[in-house]
Amino acid sequence: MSTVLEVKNLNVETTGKLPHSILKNVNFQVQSGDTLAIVGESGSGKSMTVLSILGLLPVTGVRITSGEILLEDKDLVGYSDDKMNAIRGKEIATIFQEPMTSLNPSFTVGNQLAEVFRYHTNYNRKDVKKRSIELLKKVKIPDPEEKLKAYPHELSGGMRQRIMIAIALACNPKLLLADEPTTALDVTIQAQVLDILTDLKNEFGMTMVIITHDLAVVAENCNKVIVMYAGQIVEMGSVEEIFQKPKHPYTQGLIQSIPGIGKPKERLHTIRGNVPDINQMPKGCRFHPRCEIATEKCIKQEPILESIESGRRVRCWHTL
Amino acid sequence: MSEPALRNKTITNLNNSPQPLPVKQKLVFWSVLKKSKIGMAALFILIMIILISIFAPVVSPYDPITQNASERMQAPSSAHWLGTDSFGRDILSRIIYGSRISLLVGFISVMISSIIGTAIGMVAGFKGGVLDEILMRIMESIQSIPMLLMGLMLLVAFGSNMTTLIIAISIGLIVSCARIARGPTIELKESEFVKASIASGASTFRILVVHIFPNILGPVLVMATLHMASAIRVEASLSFLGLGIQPPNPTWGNMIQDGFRYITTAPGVALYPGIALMVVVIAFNIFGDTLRDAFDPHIIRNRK
Amino acid sequence: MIKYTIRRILWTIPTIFLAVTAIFFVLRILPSDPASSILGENATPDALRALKEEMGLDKPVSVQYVEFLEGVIRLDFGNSLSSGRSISTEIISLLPYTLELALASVLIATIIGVPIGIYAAIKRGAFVDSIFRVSALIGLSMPAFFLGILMMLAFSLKIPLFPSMGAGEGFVGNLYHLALPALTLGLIESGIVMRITRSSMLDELNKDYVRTARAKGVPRRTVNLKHILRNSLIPVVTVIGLNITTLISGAVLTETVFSRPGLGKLAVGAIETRDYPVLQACLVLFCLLVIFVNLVVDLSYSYLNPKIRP
Repeated sequence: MSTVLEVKNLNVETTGKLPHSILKNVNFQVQSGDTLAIVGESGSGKSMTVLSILGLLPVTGVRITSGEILLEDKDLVGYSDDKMNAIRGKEIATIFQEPMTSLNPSFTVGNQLAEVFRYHTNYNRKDVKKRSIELLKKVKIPDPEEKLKAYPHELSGGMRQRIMIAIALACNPKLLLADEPTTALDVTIQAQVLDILTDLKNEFGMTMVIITHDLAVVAENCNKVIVMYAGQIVEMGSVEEIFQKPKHPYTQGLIQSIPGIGKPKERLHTIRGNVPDINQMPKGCRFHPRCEIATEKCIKQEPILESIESGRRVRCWHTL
Repeated sequence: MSEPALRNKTITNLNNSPQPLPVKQKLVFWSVLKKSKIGMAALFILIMIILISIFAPVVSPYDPITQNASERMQAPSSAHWLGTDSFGRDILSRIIYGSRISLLVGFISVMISSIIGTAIGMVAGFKGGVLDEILMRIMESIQSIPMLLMGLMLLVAFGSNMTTLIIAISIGLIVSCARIARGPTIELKESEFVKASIASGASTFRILVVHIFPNILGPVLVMATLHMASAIRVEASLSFLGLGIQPPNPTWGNMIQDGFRYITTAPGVALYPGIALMVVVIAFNIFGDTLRDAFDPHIIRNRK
Repeated sequence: MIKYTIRRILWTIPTIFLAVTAIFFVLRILPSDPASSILGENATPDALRALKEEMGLDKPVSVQYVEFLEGVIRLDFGNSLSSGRSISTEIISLLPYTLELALASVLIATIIGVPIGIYAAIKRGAFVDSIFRVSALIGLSMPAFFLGILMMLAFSLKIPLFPSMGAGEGFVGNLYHLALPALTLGLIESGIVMRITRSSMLDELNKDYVRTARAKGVPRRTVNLKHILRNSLIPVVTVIGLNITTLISGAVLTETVFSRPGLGKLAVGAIETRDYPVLQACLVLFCLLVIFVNLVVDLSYSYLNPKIRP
């Protein structure tokens, strides 16, 4: 197995006189064929991680201060925007959260699909059309030829998300980033979209990173999990390890807050408080104000991400 | 529940509701305004011009109306800084006195149109339904007559005098005031604190004045500043066409009209009052634009 | 869509009715005695009576009003008092000059305003952006008649590039005479176009589809010029359309400054000669024009943007 993506000591900070840390020493690897989930509440730095990998952080306001993002052997951090254009859409493809607004309302579906081919292949018009129809068939869109001529507003949310998947798969990318791919969809549509995604991942032999806060999605579709909190990785491991034996109180809290079918009608567990604001980061362990087992040590000293078993890491002084 | 108790309850509700705080808004507003150098420059120019027009008899070197046949069409000199016109009158003095008419007409018509327009917009937005539909239809009809032509028509019908001029310009400006006030009123009508007020039986008038007006004051102020520019421009345009305030009283518009006849031989006669007009209109527009930025929460967020 | 179109068209009827009625009452009824104000104080009673008869002022107001409304519907405004010719004929002969001026200035405004607006939006917050912002404000602040005088002074009197007055013969002569008036109006309008292009580009800049396009590997430049521009042009077109009132006022002033034949000049001339029927016809026509253009803009907007269709 080879490593497709390796993020090494990635730090992202706001620009300005008093920079605030947004991502702090983020380290992880994605092996070929893996489906990695990055979970955490909103504000934990998941989406920033994706944008950093894509080189699409906002031009002003934030920047990568140190670290490496290795796609196979290429360090993307030093890449110019032009060089990244050749990578985005071809080697790394992305599916974003909002299918309702992620497609340009003024262009047809076909036009937006064709754009990927225009920048990454030398297909002629006929090839483009043939490939586009093939792709729409793969994501199970009925009458693909008709749908190519449709405008996004003429399609449902689920259909649009399938179009987004088709756009992402167009050039057989090595790595697929899916940022909350199902959050904005109805529950029934969510399942369909995820099925399509998993099937195609297996068919194309792709490596996938799913960003989500929905642990049900993680349990069904992923094999590795990273839990992020306030810009840091707090725990990582295989999906079984994380779900059966969470070692970090935050992970445990997340798992206990999943509503389960057939469970007795007890009160759902909630983690008290909110993710801290980037300019008011707590000292010591960043989770301590919300942690039920926090001690003096947690308030004073910041824990490190310790390796406890192979592939298993936890950032906590009082590992569960 | 007794009535005072009910009222007290409403007051506590109001305090908890997400009503924008005017005081905080004002602070942010000043800090943004102060940062804009060009906006402050425009403000400075406007203050200077207002002072000059107030103290016109003190500042201006000559009488603006007395003719002097022996000094016709003189080039700028140390005696007449900007030269004299075809009646031998000092151009600088006439420009200084002309500013009084421009500012006065502008100020009064903007006051009238802002008060009436805002009232119409708030009532239309708050009452909604047929009343809203009728008022907006009337506004649309007014808007279909360009302001200059509205002025032209009224001045022709009622004769050229200051009152008609002010009424004509006010009518033209009312429409955009009403539009500006109507939108936020419709939004605010749905807000918790207005609903609470309605539930506690406050009169429409009270709700509009106490709860809604303070929240649309910002946009209305911005609009009023920009309207000063339009009003002054329209007044000058009408004077240029020979309507409005009649000679020998100096207005920038009729000075330009008079000077335009000598444009080939003595362009300065038309040029200087034109430049004064230009500077004032630009200053009002730039200041209004800066005010708009200062009031716009979106822009404040971006700058932070 | 058809239902909306019909409803929108029907709604213009009360608007037209109100506006036209206002014009009638202001110009016909409010001046105590239009006939004597036309002929002056020294007019003979016979002449006055004749003029009143010609203008229909001897009839009751209600009859005059109905006749006027009929005239508006048939676009027949009677005869000019000063030239005696049919007003409709006169308007038709002058309309091309004004239309030509309006279209040329809109074209100039678009050519100048849109690219600068795009550039300023891309360079938002930079020094050039503020330079363009201030220039746009100066442009749209300019009183049309004064800019006209400045243009005439600069490009006709000091540097004799273009004629200072009238309209030319033939295609080339026409363009030659059109240049300065069209540039005057176009420059003023371009300030407005630039501002709206910039602000609507900025509105689109942070939309999700922009991120999608970038994630596909589309270069930033193409995203700006293809994806964002396409979506920001709708408000620009709307604003250009809705600025018809600025354009009409501007045309009245520019035609006066450059002594150029046209509807604006006709209206101003009618004031000087106290030719009420002509003035009234011009006002009604401008009013209809504004309402018509607003209608077209509204309909095309809802057509371009199916999502806002009620």
